[in-house]
Amino acid sequence: MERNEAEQAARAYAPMVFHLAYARIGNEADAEDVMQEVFLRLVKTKTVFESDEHCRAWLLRVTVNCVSDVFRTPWRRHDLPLSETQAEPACESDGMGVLEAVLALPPKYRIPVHLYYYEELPIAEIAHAMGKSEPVVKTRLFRARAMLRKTLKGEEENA
Amino acid sequence: MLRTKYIEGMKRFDPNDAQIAQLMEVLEVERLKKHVPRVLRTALIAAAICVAMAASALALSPTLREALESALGAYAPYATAVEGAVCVENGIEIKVVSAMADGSMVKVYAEARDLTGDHLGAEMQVSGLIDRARPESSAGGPVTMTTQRGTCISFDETTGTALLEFVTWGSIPNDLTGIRLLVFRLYPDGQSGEALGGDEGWELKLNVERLEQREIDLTGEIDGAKLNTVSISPLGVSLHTDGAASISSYPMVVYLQDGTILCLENGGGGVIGLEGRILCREFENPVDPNQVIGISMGYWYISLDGDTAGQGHWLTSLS
Repeated sequence: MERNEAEQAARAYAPMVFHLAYARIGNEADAEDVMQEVFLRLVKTKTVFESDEHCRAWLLRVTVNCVSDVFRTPWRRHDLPLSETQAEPACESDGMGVLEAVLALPPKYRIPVHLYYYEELPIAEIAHAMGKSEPVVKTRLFRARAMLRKTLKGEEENA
Repeated sequence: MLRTKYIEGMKRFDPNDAQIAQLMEVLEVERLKKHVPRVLRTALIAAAICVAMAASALALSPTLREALESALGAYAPYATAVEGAVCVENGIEIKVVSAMADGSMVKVYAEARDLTGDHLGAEMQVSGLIDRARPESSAGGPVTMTTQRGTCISFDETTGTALLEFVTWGSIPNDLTGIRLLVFRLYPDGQSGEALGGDEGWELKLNVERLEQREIDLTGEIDGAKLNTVSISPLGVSLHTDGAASISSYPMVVYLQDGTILCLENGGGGVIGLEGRILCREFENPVDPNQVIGISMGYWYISLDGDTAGQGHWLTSLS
């Protein structure tokens, strides 16, 4: 991809890539590294994009793969649990309680939740981005919702 | 309600202007690597006779042997032949054939072969790393984050075998006995396609001999980054700074005794421990470390004499 196209894509889709990486990793510095890696791969790819949507779908798929690889690195395998590395949560009223609850989900549930609720993608597109079947995505969303309900209800009761 | 609150929470983590600017800088550096003609070409003569490589290359097909010879080029005498590092997962065999290292970089070459099908191809992409840290040391204490790269550099259609190159840059320990090559995934159709490798990927242990480096203490700073040490080996140059600022986008130029000027473009680096950074750049062809008489970073020139650095000063041009 040519520089101008890549820069345009970076300006248009950097937040999308960054948010997806953050949703999976829960760490801004690593999310930034993933964002840079994804757009470097965009510059290097020989893929000819037929449309903006094609480019967007490619970026989502590559981001999912890149964040998966981050968790395979040895230092990540030995990382502290997410709950021990998170900053102090803000109050529920500004929405941080829900974000924190999503980040506390088991890793495999965070990406479908993010793509469904934040990017508002249909199940088929989430399945494509994750390289999974639609039933798998539906099941993960169903289970994630149940866990979120339980977590958030517990917080309300403790408040 | 859930959606609204989640979006509100996530919006607080929009990439900021500095992060977007850094991204654009990274893309610009990549563009320079791809498109700018190298006006400062090396005049070095490759001294390579590929003796050291012959043993490791014997197992390769003629096509991959040529590819390995081409990849190593004049560095063949500096490479260590590796045998016995083989791992099979999901019907794909990965075998290390050659490796080389100095105090700032490890480069490993491996072949990948599909034993049960024909999933591999020339467009394949690779993810993996060379793990320098001992497992127990990465469980606690400062984490050393550095860059790494995995690439499919050649594919032999006849045998369905690929030659892979893995590089990591950073602070490399003296003892490279039993380091691990971790290949996470192979993407036959590129990163947006299906992945091979399952949950575990491939893990291979190997031994590499580390080349000696010429090390010179530095003083002063560039754009807020305090200079600590420069290390030079036949493979490349690494600059150690404190962690205050990154100068990774600055052009690094090396000046040799015979008047040759080398602009070093490829490399990596990262954060070392809690308070340091390392910036590594590769030579295109081997350089005798003792022939280096100066280095510049972004027009800031430092002369080097033996193990002593001179006072830095600004250049008006790099040539």
